[in-house]
Amino acid sequence: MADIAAAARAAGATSAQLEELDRLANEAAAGDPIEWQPWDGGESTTTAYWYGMFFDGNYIRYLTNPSEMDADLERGYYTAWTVAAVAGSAAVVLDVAAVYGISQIGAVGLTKIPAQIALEYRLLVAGGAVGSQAQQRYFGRFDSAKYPKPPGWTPQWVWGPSSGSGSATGRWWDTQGGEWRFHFADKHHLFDHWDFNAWTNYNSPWQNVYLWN
Amino acid sequence: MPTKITVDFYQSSDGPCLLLFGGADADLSALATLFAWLSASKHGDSVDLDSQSFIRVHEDSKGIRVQLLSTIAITETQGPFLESLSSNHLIWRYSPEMWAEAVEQIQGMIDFNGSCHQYLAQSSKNDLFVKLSIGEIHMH
Repeated sequence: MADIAAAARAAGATSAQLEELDRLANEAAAGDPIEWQPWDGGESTTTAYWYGMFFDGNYIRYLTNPSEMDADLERGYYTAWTVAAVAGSAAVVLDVAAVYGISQIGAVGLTKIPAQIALEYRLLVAGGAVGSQAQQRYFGRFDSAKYPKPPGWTPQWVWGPSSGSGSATGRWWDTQGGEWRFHFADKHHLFDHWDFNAWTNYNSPWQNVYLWN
Repeated sequence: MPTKITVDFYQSSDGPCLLLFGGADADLSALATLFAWLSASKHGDSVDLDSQSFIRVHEDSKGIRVQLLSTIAITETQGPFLESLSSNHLIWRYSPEMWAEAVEQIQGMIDFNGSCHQYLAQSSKNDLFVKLSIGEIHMH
């Protein structure tokens, strides 16, 4: 990890910023809040791979058209980077970088250069504040313990990322491929409830499932 | 005869939300037709959602302008899909392909034929999102 720190300093990061990033990363990774470890099922080493499988065809599109890569994938990268940093495993970081086509990490050059991600990487390592913001967006809303279990929940359900591109909140995925998203009450929703999408079609709509159902 | 779809821009539990909602007989087809027009229109075409005949603006959002814009293929790095220029002026900027996808989302609701909703647009840049809900929210 030393080369990453050196690269960060070369990019203008201060020691205080890096220490803050480390502190936040450690804090975020404590207790594996996104249940990162069970996600990859031993098939891969990174959340990024999980995202890759999850987005299926889109994943290839993102790799071949990196400018179209959406914010969820960026967050996936941040997450994997952060967890990897905490684990102290440069190999995992490089793995993530390879998936996302990062051209250079430390002294290791890779082949693809998506400018957007390279820029995000520089921002991340150069500014603890940027990393912190991304991290808080991702981790802060991504905790299954915040919500009651959906009806019919079993330990076989998987807590994972959203099917959508704009939201960082975690979702339960049932064994039939249905997605469950918790929705707190607000002005137009009198009661806390689950949003459920069975995803029987690519354009399946969402339904409200109340906690008493 | 189908009923109007109500528009309200409010602070939801998930962030600022442009909510389009109506009863089970709300005019989804008219909304789909409008989006289909945007998907077929040329770069830069725009239309105001709030002024459409099948739309009613919620009392709390009186005076709001929701500008729908069809633009060339965009990513959020070039500007958010949804932008709040002021408390009562929103811009929803989509490419023709994205408007076409929104039409398909509405078609999914029509096919479902029951109370349901779709998230039509979400911006990771500012947390704004657009939700279309039918048969789920009481008129008030």
